[in-house]
Amino acid sequence: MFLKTLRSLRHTLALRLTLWYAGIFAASSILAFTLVYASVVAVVQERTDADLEEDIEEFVSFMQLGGLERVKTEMAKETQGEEASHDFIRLWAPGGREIFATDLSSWRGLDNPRDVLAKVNGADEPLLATLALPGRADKVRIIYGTIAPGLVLEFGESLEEDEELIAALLRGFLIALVAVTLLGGPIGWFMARRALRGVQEVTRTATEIADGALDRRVEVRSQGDELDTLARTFNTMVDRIQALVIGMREMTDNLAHDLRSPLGRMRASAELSLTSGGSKAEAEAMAAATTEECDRLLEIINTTLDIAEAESGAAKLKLTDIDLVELVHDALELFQPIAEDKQITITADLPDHCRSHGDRQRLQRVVANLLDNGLKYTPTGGRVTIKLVAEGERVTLSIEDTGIGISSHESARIFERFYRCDRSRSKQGNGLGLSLALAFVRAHGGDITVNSTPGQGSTFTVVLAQSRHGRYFQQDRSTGG
Amino acid sequence: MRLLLIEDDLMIASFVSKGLKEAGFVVEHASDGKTGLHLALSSCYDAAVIDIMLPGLDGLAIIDELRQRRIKLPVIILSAKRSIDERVDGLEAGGDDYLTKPFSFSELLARIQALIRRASDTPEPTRITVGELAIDLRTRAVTRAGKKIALQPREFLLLEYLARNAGRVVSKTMIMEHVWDYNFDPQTNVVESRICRLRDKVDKGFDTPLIHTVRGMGYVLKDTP
Repeated sequence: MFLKTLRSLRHTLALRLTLWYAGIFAASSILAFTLVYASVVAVVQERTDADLEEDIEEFVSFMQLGGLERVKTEMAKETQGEEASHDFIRLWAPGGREIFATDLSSWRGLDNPRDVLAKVNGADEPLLATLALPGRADKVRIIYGTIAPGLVLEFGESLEEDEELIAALLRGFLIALVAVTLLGGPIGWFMARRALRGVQEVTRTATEIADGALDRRVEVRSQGDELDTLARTFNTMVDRIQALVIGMREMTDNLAHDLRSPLGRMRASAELSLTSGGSKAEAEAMAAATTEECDRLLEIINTTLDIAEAESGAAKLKLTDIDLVELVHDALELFQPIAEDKQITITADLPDHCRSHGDRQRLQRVVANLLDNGLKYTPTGGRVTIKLVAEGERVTLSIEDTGIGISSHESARIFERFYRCDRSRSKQGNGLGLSLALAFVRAHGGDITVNSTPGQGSTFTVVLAQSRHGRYFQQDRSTGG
Repeated sequence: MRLLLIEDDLMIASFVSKGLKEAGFVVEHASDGKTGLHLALSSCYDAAVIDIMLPGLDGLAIIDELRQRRIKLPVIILSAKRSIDERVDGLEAGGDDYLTKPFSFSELLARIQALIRRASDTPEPTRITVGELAIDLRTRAVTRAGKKIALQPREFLLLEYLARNAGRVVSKTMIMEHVWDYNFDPQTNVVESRICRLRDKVDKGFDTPLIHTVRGMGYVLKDTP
């Protein structure tokens, strides 16, 4: 169990961040100490060397004031008692001949430094060296300086105190490093968790949403940081998904309803003719009704697919240069008998020429659907006016009727698939005509708008691009979102 | 007239074969692509009806093979997919045709006959008669039992289309396509209203009606009731 938790922990971002944090913490501490250590060592050595150089200068003045005897006295004074194990002094004549030395009982193993003496004698600057003696734990710093012509003084000083100081420093640092590393882990963990809490919040919400709670949202703390941006973007995405899901659910509900009704009728009539064992004429009537229902079902399915294709951009438009005047004329001619039957006057206000770049068959359906719609909802004796205007780079086709009109809250929804106004339910139709028209026009880079006064009539306006500037709306759409 | 039908759905195959035999065709049926191709290569047909989705060898592969061997067999493709393959668009240009499933048999029959007519270069008739009805395609004059009937241009096209398919049922979609050049049927029944007007001019005042409505199917122009 513990191992398993550990193993899963190994892959978490929090742990990786913690390890990085602790690692960087330790590495920078080591670097800082190394610098401090190096400068402390340098300072300590400099101080020792300065002391030794001062000693030589003192002996130079002893030599000048009191001659060799004074020097010998001072040498003995310098190393009396305890000091004998701390310092030693030897006085050398040229050729490595020892003139005088202090108590060397604690300094066994000192050589005759002939080579060094040869170098030092006559030189202006004293010479410094560090030596390790076999019988001693500490090292010794030695200075060789000329105190009078031909006389070289060798002054050795134990480095024991310096070494103790540096050892204490090192010890102190090691303790600090362990503490820093031990503390760095938890601090890093705490900070990583804190930074990642927002991410976890998003993850938790996403999990809930994945489980079906589409109304859940991440809380935005409005601190304006990256996590807020993430939360806000995430929420926008979920909003969009929710809208799509609701739209799809509504559409499938409607589709199921619209498919179920004709299927129900078909099934009922088939069952009736099976159980009643009616005449051939009855069976024929049943077959005819079934065929009609099938055609209606096919029409619904095909139109739904046409809309989906056009909306998703999957529909390949067969773009050609088309004469819109001719297209509108043909549509008017097609619907003329219907208008006459209902005693509706169709007035057309068309220019001589109006060309557009588009898919002929799809635009035919757009015009036919809008005209069909206008005629369907205009009562007997009414009027339908169709107007085609080319202005600048756009073509505007408006179809105005004196029909029942659409209330403002319904006009926002009439282009939705399967949406049917309350007053349109009695009319035949599948509620797809306007959605299809809008989808096709949008696929052409245009748009359809509706303006309506209930009880007085509606005007549907289609805006398309003129053929010379076929790309006008494409650009318009890309900038307008 | 010999027809080859390559279709793996046996129910559709038997329904199509039966209908085509009744219409006077000799039909041979293959239920998979390989047998179909073998038949198409080994025997001579006037036209073929080929389903796209077939076991063994698909419909388009069969047609490719036929075209590569320079066999100019007119083909009607049956497809369950609505979005017709681009290659089918190409075939269409070569004189062939396609139908989307589910299709009406009358439409299939009309398309087969049109295809064979095109392939065999039958000279265009100048005059069609159906019972007492006579249509002069050059002068566009229509008479019934010697009495002149005045028709509007679109009404003439509608009657001409019915007459060319005399005895066969034509659906509303077929009428929309051939008379108005629309590939869909508007929700309001525009065809019905046209037929109604045409009936007023052609059948009114005569004992036997020529224009008949076949419920669920469409319309037919015929001499016998």
